[in-house]
Amino acid sequence: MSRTVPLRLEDRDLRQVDFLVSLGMYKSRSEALRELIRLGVKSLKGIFEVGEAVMKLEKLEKKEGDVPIKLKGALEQLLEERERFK
Amino acid sequence: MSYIDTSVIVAALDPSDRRRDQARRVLEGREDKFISELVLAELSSVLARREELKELASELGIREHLVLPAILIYLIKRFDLTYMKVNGLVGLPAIGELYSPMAFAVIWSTKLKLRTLDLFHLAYVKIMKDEGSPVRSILTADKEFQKAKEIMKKEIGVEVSLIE
Repeated sequence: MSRTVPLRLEDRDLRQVDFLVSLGMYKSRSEALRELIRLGVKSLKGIFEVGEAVMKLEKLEKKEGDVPIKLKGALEQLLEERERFK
Repeated sequence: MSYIDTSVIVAALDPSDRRRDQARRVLEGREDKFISELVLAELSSVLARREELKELASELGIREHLVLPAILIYLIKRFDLTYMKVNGLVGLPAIGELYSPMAFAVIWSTKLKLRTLDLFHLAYVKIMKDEGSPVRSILTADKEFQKAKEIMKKEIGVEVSLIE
């Protein structure tokens, strides 16, 4: 399924899109923009993965009723390590 | 507005520590809470060495190297923390330019006489204040900061509050 999205672009970005179209790499502005957005989203895969993991942590907290990160003994370890930097 | 030392966040996540509940109360309080890049770095170092991280990555369905940023973002959101950047270089006579927290650490080391990381945390607080942030206190679970309590109050106008 595809939807129409109104989009406002800077002149310089549009010029670059038109340049790709003029080279014959894409048949139209629409096709060029679809492909460029797809590539952009793909390159941000890690960010989406992190975002989804944050949402899952929030869901886990709701399920468990507490922050799902438990670091037993971590404070003493941190304070001991700071001692090394005396 | 308070600066939150790494030890408070770690205490809040440590079910075996007596300071956990108090740390949690502080972090869940309504006061504005700020952290520095040093807090992020220290917290990352603590988290990265925990075995639980692998299990959590698998549970969350995330690649292992991405679980750490996910936890950091979750904790920042969960405890409503604001990361504050400090700016600039400071010139020291005969040494040259240093990143401002390092320069502060060098200049104030003889007055504060603290361990390196404690000195750096106080440097961030001082610089945040100098840059216009209304920091009133530094909250910590590390009693070593108490050594600088008087001087921080007198010279920088910041209370050192210990979670015990």
